[in-house]
Amino acid sequence: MPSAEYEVIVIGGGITGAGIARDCAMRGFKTLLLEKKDFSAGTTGTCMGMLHGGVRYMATEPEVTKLSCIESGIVQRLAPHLIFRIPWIMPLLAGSRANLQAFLPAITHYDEWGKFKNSKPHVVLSAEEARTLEPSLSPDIEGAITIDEPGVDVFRLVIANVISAAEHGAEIRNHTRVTGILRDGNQVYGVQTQDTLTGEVGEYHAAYVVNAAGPWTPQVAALAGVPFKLCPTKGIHIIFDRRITSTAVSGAGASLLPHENTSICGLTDTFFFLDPDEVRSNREEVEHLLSSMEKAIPSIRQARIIRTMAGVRPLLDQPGTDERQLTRHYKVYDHEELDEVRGFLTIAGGKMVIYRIMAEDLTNLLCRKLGREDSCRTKEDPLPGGEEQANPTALAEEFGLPLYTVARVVSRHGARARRVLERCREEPQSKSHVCVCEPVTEAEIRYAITHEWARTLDDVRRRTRLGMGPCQGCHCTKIAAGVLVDERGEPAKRGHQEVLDFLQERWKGREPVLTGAQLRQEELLRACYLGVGGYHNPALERVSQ
Amino acid sequence: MMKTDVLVIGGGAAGAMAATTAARSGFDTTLVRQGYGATALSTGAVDLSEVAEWLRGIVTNAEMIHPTVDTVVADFLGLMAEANYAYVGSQDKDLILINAMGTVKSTHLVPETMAAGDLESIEGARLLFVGVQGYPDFDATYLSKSLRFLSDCGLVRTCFETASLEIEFPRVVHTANLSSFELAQLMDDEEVVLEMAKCVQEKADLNQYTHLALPPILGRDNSARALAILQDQTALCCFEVLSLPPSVPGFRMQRALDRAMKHRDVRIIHASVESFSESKGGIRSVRVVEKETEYVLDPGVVILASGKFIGGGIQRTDRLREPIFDLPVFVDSDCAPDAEMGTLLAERFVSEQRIFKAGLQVDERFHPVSPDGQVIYSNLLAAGAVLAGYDYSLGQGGLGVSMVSGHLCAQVALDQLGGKGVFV
Repeated sequence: MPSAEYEVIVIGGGITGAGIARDCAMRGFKTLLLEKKDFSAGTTGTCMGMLHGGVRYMATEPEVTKLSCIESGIVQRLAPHLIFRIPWIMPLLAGSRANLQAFLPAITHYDEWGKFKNSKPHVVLSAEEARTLEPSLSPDIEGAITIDEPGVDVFRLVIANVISAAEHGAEIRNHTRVTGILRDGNQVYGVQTQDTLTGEVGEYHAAYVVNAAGPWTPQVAALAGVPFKLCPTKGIHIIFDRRITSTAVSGAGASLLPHENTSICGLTDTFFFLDPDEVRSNREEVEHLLSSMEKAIPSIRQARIIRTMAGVRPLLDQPGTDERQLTRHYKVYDHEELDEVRGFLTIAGGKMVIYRIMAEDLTNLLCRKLGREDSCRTKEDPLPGGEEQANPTALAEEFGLPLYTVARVVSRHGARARRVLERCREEPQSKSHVCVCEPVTEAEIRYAITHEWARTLDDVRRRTRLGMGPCQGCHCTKIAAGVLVDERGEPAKRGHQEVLDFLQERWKGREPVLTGAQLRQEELLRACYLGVGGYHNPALERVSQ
Repeated sequence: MMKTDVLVIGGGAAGAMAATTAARSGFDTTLVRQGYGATALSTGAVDLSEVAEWLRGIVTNAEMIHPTVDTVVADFLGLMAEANYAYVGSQDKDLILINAMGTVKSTHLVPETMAAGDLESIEGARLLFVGVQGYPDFDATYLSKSLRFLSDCGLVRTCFETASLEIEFPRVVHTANLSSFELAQLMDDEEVVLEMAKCVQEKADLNQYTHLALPPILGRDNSARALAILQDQTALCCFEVLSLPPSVPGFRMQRALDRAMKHRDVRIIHASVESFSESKGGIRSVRVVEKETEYVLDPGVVILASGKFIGGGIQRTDRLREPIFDLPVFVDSDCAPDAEMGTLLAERFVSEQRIFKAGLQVDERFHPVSPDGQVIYSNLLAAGAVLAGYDYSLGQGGLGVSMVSGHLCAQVALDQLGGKGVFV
């Protein structure tokens, strides 16, 4: 049974926990980061990747919007390789031209903060101008306003924070569930854990345990014997097979964003008080998004939907508030003050874009508690990969890889792209594209396994976008399973287990939207993995567990 | 208007069997297709395991089922031999073949290039899996490991030992991203086959082995020749492993079916069906359009073999539909074109998903029927994956059901046309 002494144990490997682990490690705390599934496998991985201020919150919480704009600028500086621009058209839908005057002051106000996040000010467009920019817009629109927002590869933002934490001495464990929080009277002094893949149990002691488990914070608090409540809301997105539009477009309460090789349409915001592990999209929510979106883009129903994703926002408890009006403020809870339980902090609320300042706040409190004076450096020190610019063209030439492949590696790894590609020198076959939709090379998959804690195919997916394209793992699943067991030196049994798990995980997102052209792909996928592979054979499933 | 006795729509396994069967009996046969579908994407192995059971749900005369399947098998083997792509096997013997996922599949009819891989008949074998550097679809190390694992678990007979190696393939330009078709194209050249055999010999002491397990890349057209050379050079039994799409053997099988159709004077038109007219309860004419050319066909009998979702025979956007004749679509035996998708899908990926059993319901003479069991068009028949009631990815009899139903449709057509059909 592993047992060790830490100053801080952080529970939760979303953007909040990863940010805290980085800040703590940079300030010299002996830190352990625990994640029950994988980094960004929860709420963070299902967000839209907007590094924005949020026009949506201008009316109710302009201070959150302003803070978000400031933090957006900081994150853009820390990890420029992960950032992309999202020019955005907000069409004035039929009958809403009159609202323009009412809307403009807020937008003008928002423009003032655009300088923090390097955004261009808004432009008011005529209907013709808007349709010239984006021909799929409805003929009924009465004009449009543009805004300019940054986006981020959120999976990579989390892993960049985790890598940085590790490089500053933090110990990192994913697939490690906290099964108990150790208390001696009113003093929390550690956690008990179980590795969900190996079953191995562990016990770790620390001066402080930080609960950054997002929608799971109440469950973690309960392990420490303290009550904790959230006002969780569910959000879903639907994902299309390609970039349908060249800019982001707002509909009536939904938006469509080009994202990587896909488009994402979101979002919904409804109370969700069930187990966050069980969150799924349903067909009513999908219909709601499509009918909202088709007011701006009438052809949206002809587009090919490949999947959905659903997540739960860990919003602060505000009894009696409407679900669309809940605050995006965050809060650090000291359970010593709240419940007279020492050594235990909880952080909740907030938005992805302000994760860094959330982490700074919490770490400042830890410093005060532990009597330390180390100052925060997360604003200045670049995230791994953000140290300098990489040149995709030169790398493509040097390693004999297509530019489109290397450009993706650079967009995920920045200055460290070379380290990822280095393997191609000695093992030229690792230049092969395992995932063709995205594309993802064998070298990058092996790097994710050896350097980025990828232990399952779904982990590899979060690091690399493996299996996230239109074929939904049809081509890559079995190839990547072979690479995974080879790199990890695992038995064939694990390969089959990974194939089954990955197929199921991907299916969960497709099932609520499966129809149309995607049915063809699904027939092919089933013909491969069931018809040929026989993975529905109960005997095979049994021996793979 | 172009008269034809039998018009087949769709050129996969079902359509090709229907067309060749009809043409052999001397009927003027025309086949219309848009392109290659699920058959060309298949492994090329024909599974007959649940064909008889499926037939029992359609044909009432149970005694004719076994002989019918035998007839179809003989016919198919004959066709493939004529087309210079020999197949072996029968419905009475299960072949257990390794696939590129490292699991096994039971099947019945396989090209000669796969025959030696039957795990049921290689007592005491020592298998050497041969991978190709830079060709990610075939991971020899993983396959070797996986097969040992399956045998340790008792999922396959423990009658062999396995090993693996990777060769640098002769004459390839790239060191990565090699595809099956690229390698197969190279292997159409006998010199390359010889060089490949040499590569294997240089990498391993072949005396230690009895069999070479190869990716399915033994040429696009001349696989028998490539196999013979490899066996001759290595003095080992060689076989191709089943692979996922894009699969060279599936493509070979489709091309062999095409050659067989040409041998039997089937007229093939690459076009899509645009419209049709009906009279007196039958299909009177079918209009097909190929780029600028338009044909109006006047068929005696129409056999619809347009496949399921891959082929486009069944589609679903907001409801399930059959796009050519707008025939009622059933799921299992319920006519439920408007069924919510949620009711047709299950939570577990590996369980049955009812949507994949969607298709046409037919009477025992393969006429598509309405929900009340009435024949819709007297001269319209349906075969293959467009039929309801079986999910070939679970039931395994995909190409088998297609071939048998295609053959039976042709027999019904011959009957209806007053020829020498043998259908009872």
